[in-house]
Amino acid sequence: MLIAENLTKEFPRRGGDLDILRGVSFQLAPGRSLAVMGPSGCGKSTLLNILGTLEPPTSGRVTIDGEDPFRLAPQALARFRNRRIGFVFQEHHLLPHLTALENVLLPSLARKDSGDMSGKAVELLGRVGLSDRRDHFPAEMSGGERQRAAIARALLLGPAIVLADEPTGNLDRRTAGEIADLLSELPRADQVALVVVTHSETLAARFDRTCELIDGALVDKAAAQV
Amino acid sequence: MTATRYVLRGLAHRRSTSLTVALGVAVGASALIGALIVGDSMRGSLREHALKRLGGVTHALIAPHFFRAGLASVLPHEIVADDARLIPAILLTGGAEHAESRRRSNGAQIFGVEVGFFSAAAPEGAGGGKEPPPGWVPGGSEPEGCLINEALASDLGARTGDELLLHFARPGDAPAETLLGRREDTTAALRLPVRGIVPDEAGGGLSLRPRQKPPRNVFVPLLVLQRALRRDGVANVLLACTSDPDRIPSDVVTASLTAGLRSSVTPEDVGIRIRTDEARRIVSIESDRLLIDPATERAAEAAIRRLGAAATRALAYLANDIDAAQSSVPYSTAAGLDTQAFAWGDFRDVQGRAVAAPGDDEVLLNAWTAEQLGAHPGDAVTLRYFVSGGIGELQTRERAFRVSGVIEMNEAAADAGFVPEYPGITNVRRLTDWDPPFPFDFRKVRDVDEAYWDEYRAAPKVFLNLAVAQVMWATEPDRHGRLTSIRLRVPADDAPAAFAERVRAALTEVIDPAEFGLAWRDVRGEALAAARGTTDFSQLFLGFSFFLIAAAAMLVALLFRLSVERRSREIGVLAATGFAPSRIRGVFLSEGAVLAGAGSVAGLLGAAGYAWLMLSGLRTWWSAAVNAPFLSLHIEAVTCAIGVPAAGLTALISMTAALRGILRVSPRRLLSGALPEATPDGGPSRRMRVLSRILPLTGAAMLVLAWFVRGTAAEAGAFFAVGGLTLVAGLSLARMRWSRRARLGARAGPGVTFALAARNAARHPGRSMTTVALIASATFLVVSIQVFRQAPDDRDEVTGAAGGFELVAECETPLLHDLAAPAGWESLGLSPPTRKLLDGAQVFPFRLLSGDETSCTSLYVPTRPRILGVDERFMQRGAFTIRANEAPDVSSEALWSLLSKPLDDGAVPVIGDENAVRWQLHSGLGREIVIEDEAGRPTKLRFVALLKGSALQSELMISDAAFRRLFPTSAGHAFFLIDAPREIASELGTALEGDLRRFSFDAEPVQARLKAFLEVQNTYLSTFQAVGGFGLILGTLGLAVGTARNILERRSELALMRAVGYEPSTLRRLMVIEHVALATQGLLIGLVAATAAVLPRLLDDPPSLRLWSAASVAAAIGLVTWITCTLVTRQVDRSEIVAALRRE
Repeated sequence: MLIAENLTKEFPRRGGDLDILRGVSFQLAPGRSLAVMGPSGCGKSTLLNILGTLEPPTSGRVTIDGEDPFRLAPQALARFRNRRIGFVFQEHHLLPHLTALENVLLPSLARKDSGDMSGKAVELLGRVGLSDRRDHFPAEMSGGERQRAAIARALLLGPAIVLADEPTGNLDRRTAGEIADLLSELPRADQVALVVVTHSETLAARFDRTCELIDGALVDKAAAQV
Repeated sequence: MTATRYVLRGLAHRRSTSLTVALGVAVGASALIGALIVGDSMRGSLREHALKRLGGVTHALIAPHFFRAGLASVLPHEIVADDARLIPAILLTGGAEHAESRRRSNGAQIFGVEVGFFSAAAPEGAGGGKEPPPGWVPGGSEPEGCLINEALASDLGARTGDELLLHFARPGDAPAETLLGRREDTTAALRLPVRGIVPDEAGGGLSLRPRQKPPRNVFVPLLVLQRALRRDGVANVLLACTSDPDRIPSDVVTASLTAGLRSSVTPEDVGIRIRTDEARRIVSIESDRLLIDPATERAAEAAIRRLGAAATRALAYLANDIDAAQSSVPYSTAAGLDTQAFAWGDFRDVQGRAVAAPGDDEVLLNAWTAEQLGAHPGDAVTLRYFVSGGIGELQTRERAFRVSGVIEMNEAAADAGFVPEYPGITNVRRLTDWDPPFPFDFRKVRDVDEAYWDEYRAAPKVFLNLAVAQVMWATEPDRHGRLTSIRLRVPADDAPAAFAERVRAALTEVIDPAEFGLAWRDVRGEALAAARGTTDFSQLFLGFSFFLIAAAAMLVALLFRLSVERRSREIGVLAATGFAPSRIRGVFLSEGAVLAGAGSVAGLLGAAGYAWLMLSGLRTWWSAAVNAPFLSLHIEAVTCAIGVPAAGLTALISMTAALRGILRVSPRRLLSGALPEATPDGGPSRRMRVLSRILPLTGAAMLVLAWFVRGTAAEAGAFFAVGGLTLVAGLSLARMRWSRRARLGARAGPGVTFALAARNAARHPGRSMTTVALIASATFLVVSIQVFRQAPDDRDEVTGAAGGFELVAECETPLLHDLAAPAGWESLGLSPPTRKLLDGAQVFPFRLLSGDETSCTSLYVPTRPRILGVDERFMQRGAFTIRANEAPDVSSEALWSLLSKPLDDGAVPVIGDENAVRWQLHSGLGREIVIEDEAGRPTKLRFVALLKGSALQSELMISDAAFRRLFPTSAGHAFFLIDAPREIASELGTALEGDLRRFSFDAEPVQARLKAFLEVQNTYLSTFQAVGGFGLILGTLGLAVGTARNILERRSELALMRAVGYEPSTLRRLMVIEHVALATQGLLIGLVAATAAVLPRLLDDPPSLRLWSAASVAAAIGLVTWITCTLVTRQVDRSEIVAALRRE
């Protein structure tokens, strides 16, 4: 269960702090998905980074499966992120010197006690339709293939939540559709809580719930339309 | 996938970057390991050179006197090794002169050797093993000749068949500085044809003392040299040779040889004579040096105790006149006898009664003398006699006595045996045939005196108390001795010959050869010890290369950081996927370790090249520093085993430092591709602001301190403190300025181009600061070192480096007349023009113990330093700048006089040049070194004062009295400092060399000596500068890499600027300004730091020329950096607008 409670984020600026998030709260159960929309610069990625523990909120609390990751020491926080959180970025961020399989295996390298995850990585590549591309380097793959490899990487260690930041932002419509299909299956197939930040109404429509970040507050899309 | 695979795949993927970093590591490793290899090579070369000079010789017995050459054959050969040989030789130093061209070479080693010498001294394995062609030794069909080595042949331009004149010292029969010591005829000369030139590997280069310069050797048949010395069958050197020196440990060999020597040596070998008077039943123990030296006296007394024999002691001397009231007797021998001589009852008066021993003011006259003088008991007589005033003329003294008795001319009293044999006196037929070494007036000899000589020979005419005689005549009892004979009475039940044999046996048992200077030296071991070198060249070149290593480390850090910065997104991904910072650091450092390892191993090759380059430099451009053309590359495995990890670790530390900060950047920023320093920070930190205020103040305080400590040992520390603080302060200020500029943006700078350039440079303050720091440090080093170069101190002042002297001279055969006094000039046979020149000069003569060079021109550890004996007159001159732990107002003369002030613990006060004492002897003021005296006893020398930058670097100075005590048989003056008007100095030197050619007198300007010393220092500075120059190249390379990287990162930005209308030349100018600004800043900071560091010295001694020279070095640095920037920024022109914008 992912719970965000009254999250705020301020950035210091000359002439006064800039409030990006103002009391964002929501809950997301495993197997459920949430799409976050909003104009550029509204704080969507910031919210995602806070949920992904990449940066702390100014105030408020995040709990994932009942645990507040920001209370953890840096080493434990890294371990927490490694085990509980999967990231899918707009830019796939595959490492150019690793093959698709090796990129998927990357999270298992973070800890020495991960064991051999090769079987799981191969299975995940098969699931995202890249069985025949496992030994290819990112430079030899299309944009969609790279993003699918990135999704497989996010799922390797069985995370509790998957966070996707504009996962189809750099893709054409057809490829974006394929990625959307893949992402929309994840919550139920893997029992993860999925948070997707996107500008795409089409993509957002594929998830259980859609919210919009307006003036730093998260507003349910349906409620907003009302 | 494993972490190792991840690392290796990453390295392979970024191979060009990896290669660049590894190359940077290799450069640093080359410098670090190369410096260690230079040390290996210096030690290895010195060792190899010293052993080559020794050939097959492992041990040597070098005696201060002659012994029978046959001693070699009675020493058991098997004690060394199966193929070992002991060979006798005579070794002298002297001068060699080409008979035709008159070209001279002083300091030549003249060896008297036998057939077989060369094959023993230069075994086959080392390229020798061959004997020269026959014909140079006596007995052949050709007249005998000599062999010379290649160095001497080259000096003299001599070839086989040419004739050489050899000059060398001929030892006298009595100590030279006593009455009967010969002051004339002390040299011998040989004219011999050269029969061949012996290559070094065939024994021609033999030298028993490690030395850098090749020895000048002449090999003369032993018989010929013995003949020239008028000493048949003698040698003064024994050499133990083997072709396998490592077979038996050297200390075992030394012990065996010493034991063998002790059991083989005879009293005759140590100069003891045993004379038997069968008729009088007396056995006398005497010395072949006339006076019984203290070691002989100790041995004789021990033998007497062992025998339980009755003995008397006598000191015979010469009275020029015995004057009574009415008459006088000339040239009489007198004898001081102990009371035992009278207790035997042999001396009887004319009535046949035994006479008592004379009291302190009494003498006994023999009947003949009493009759000649008309003297009776109770009458007064006066003895007139010479005493030796040391080096110089004899002084006449007299003493009045009362005649206590007249003794009859019986067998006991009329005994010529009281006087030891002395060639030229005791062995001549007539009194007028005497050939004494003192003024002798034949006219005083009367017929009656000749009649006495006919009948009684040298029998004493007057007897006195031994103690009184010793006070009168034994002027230096501890040096030369106080007796002329110890007379043993043959026991009644023994035959004289048999008793003499027992005395001889007892003496043989008690003689310790070492006390007589007969001691085996492990010359091979000494050579190996000396070859450790006065300086640890590994450390020295590590010091020289420190900046180069630091520059390489900074470059590695810069390259590694650039490489890591390019991978900021990768770091972001790793962080996002749960890699802890320590794990990310581990991954990157693993990569770094691979690069450091590979670079360090590759650096081995570079290290060999670097060391080779340094050694080539030391053999050629910097040869003045070491004077060792024999240097060759030696690489020891242990050096590589230490050097490679050390270099790798240094690189890894740099990389760790380079990673600092990057891992603190949030993954979010890293994922966005933001470089850690690319975003302007919030201005200078508080720490930086505090530092930038404190450091200049501390630097200024240090500068004031530096002014007060200039000229002291703390000067170097102050130089580095002031320079370092100013450097760091400058860099902190610059760093702060970059931070401000980054924050203030376009407000900075007068023009838009400059403003943009400044802003751009501020975008990566760390990168910019690395470049600035590299150039600033290089400038500081190179410029400050330039200022430290010194010109010879040519001040004509007593306190100057030359001590106010124009000439320094040495001679191989010591002068036994005083070159400082007109009387001595006459005795030495100086020509009138030379005397006229000397009239306007002051000569200061010294005793000299030849030994190891202690100046900075020598690389070998001086184990037996050259020592000068300094007299009172020189001390009173107060020459040179001298310092001691005394009150500052104590005069130089008083400091020199510390040499004469005994030290409580018996240590001998010594003065040396500060540089020699510190760097060559690794000692200092108040500290001690231990040397061996003539008898091989360890003696402590304590430094009571030091000379600053003097011409006397090659010698240590002790008082003349201490010198005579420690080295009793070393007679005469062999070292001279001459204060002469500059305009006549050269002429005087040449004149003295000509007149004193037989002494192998050699004079040179003191300034030449100083120049040679300074050349060493200045050459080391050049070496330091050259290596610093390599560091500057790395700094420039860093600048070029940084510039190229900036251009690469800003391709899109530059394309955009070109798209909006900037011309390529404007953009290039922008880049040049940006990077030249960095270089200029580094240059200025370096210059300011260098100026601050050397300011005390500059104010003290403004050297305008050196400033110009330093300025030109700085200008050269500026030019190089400007050219580098210009070349690198040319790629701006080649960037394509559309492609770059598309990437954006």
